[in-house]
Amino acid sequence: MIRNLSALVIGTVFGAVLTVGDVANWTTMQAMFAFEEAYMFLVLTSAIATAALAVVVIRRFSLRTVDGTAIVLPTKTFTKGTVIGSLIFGIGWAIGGACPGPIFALAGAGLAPALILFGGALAGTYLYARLHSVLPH
Amino acid sequence: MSHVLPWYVTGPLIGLVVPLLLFFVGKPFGLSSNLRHLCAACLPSRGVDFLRYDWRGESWNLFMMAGIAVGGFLSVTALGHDVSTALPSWATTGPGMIVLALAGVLVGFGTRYAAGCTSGHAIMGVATLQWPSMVAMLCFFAAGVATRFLLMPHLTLWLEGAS
Repeated sequence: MIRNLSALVIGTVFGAVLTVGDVANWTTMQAMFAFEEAYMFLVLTSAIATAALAVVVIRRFSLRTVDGTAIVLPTKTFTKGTVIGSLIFGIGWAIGGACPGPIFALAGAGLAPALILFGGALAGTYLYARLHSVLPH
Repeated sequence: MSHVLPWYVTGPLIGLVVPLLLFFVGKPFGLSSNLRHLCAACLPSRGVDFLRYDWRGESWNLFMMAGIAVGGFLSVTALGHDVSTALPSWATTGPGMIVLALAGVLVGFGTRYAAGCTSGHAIMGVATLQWPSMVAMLCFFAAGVATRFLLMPHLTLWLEGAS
């Protein structure tokens, strides 16, 4: 329960940063993919650098979670989907101007078209789930 | 386009989500999984192995997703942030809605096939130096840039003409 509450609070702050920071924004995404402004590239680079630095500190000092369990970092495996799926996602991201996080933020902001993106994303996920066993991996 | 927050505020705050989740929840950052959890929780999963797992064990992430929506809501209501450019001008036209739905399908299908999105691959994966995530991020951007230059000018012209 505490974990869920923590996630809710972290999510709330994150959702506000995405929205107020114009990351959850179709126009910002168009400018990013057209290389019209540096903003998003600096945002992403500094986000990755901040996360990487934090992970280095966590590893260096073998830090644990608040309830004392070891922090496990996930290992990502490479499949054909890493390339094919990522390309498909990139197309959708550029057209709709939102990746999953921003879709949730815009839906919460009360923008009705964001619910269409959200519904589409659920449908796409369900389609993948049904085709999972026959797709190349 | 001008932004309320400078990049050196937005970026590090986004990056901080990674250690915050690891410390307080003990879980890695990755948001597109929520779409899978919602499908597993709400849609028919009989015979669909990919949706037959303990999604309740991942409910922390659904709380994270709900929080993001609350954050979006508060940005507009309490903080008065202007979201008039947050969606394209054609988003409320009939053809525009169909295009948005299809874009959503590509996002949902693609992120699950790739096993991650901007949060799980581009931020969490790249920050932990996972090479598959680096490949994923390059592919996100290769397809995004190509779509922006090759498709969007035509699509925008057609959608604005149709409205």
